[in-house]
Amino acid sequence: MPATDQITIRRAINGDESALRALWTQHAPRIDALVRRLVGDPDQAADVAQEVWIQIFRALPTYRGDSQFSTWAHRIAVNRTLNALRSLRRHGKAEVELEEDTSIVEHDGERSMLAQTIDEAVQQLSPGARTVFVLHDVEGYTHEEIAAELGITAGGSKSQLFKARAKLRRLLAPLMDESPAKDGPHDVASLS
Amino acid sequence: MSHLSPERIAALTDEAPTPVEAAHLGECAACTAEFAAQRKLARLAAAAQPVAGPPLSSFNALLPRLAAEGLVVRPDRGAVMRRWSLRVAAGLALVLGGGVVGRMTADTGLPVLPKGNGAGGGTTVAASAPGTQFTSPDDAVQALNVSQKTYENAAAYLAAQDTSAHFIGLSETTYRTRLQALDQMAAITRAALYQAPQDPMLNQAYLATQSARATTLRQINQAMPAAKRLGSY
Repeated sequence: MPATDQITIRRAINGDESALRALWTQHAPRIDALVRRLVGDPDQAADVAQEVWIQIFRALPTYRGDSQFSTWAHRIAVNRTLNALRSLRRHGKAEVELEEDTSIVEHDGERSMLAQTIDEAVQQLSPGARTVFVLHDVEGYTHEEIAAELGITAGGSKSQLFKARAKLRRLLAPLMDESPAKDGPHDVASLS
Repeated sequence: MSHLSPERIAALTDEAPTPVEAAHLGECAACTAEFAAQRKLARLAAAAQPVAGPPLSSFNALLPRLAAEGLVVRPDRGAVMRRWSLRVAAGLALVLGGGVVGRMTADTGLPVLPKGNGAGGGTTVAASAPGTQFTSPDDAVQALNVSQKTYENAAAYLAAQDTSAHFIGLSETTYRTRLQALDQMAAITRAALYQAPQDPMLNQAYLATQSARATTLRQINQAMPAAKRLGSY
């Protein structure tokens, strides 16, 4: 981590407003992107993002510098966002529970429509499928990490992911089919 | 074998196919195309850029909560103003003190500042004595106004009469140094007045600084060779 980051973080821990603002300015775009993808609803995402940043700043004194600050903050953001989603669902403000039952991926099929971007398509997934897909395929979490975060099994995470991918494939049909040549050869040997 | 399910093809992005599945993919164009699409989807997801849109959070909106939880130490605006005022007052005291000391030590035979409650030209000084207790803000502001006027009168008198520079070595350079300090003080008080335009002490300090600056300019003019003196400022 650059020395300037360490100094900024030290000042932020001491309550320096400009240092806190600098951390927010530097990392908010990536945190926002994560929260947007996981939460979906823009209004709820804004509320969750505020909570995420409060939590990041609360936890600053526990940051030891073992990893990049962005990685550390990202992990807190995932955790806080998932907690917020659980809370929203408990209060009936979100669509469905995060369950291992993969049938929930298909619950909103009747209002599915073709998407032009992967983010548009992701927003049409159920919250559980969306969470697993974003964490695994976008953020690079392992199934074991996702299982720990969501309180499900790794097998349940995989099942959700594969259903989510299948649905995204349908939603993004125009995008997926427009330039097959770019995908290169699809011989069996390349499958493993 | 029948076609692979969409979910199974999606899984093959991460997992190796069974021999039967591999054999099927080797001969089924539809499933191979689906598999290619899934691989493309995986690449798109991995390369996904942050979603465009306005910021979800605002640091200014976070500030009240951060302050409430003691996570941010916000400067006490009153304390800041008091510090500014003290700095300005200290600067003015330095300038005034320097002027008075200069007059006292010059021993030029020229009129010196009268002691006690009188000022040059018979001007009555109505400024309050140190330690005076005021009963209202208006009283205090009035006292400041009187003191300010007295200071200006005294500064103008000194500027008109003072030739001590020739005797105690106050050179044009010294006056310019003072002018530079006064310019800084004026800039500081001006900036503070943008934050607190109604603050009477800052207003007084600003006016006093400007007055001292005008006096100093006159003194610089006096210290300059006659050929270089300016008629006005």
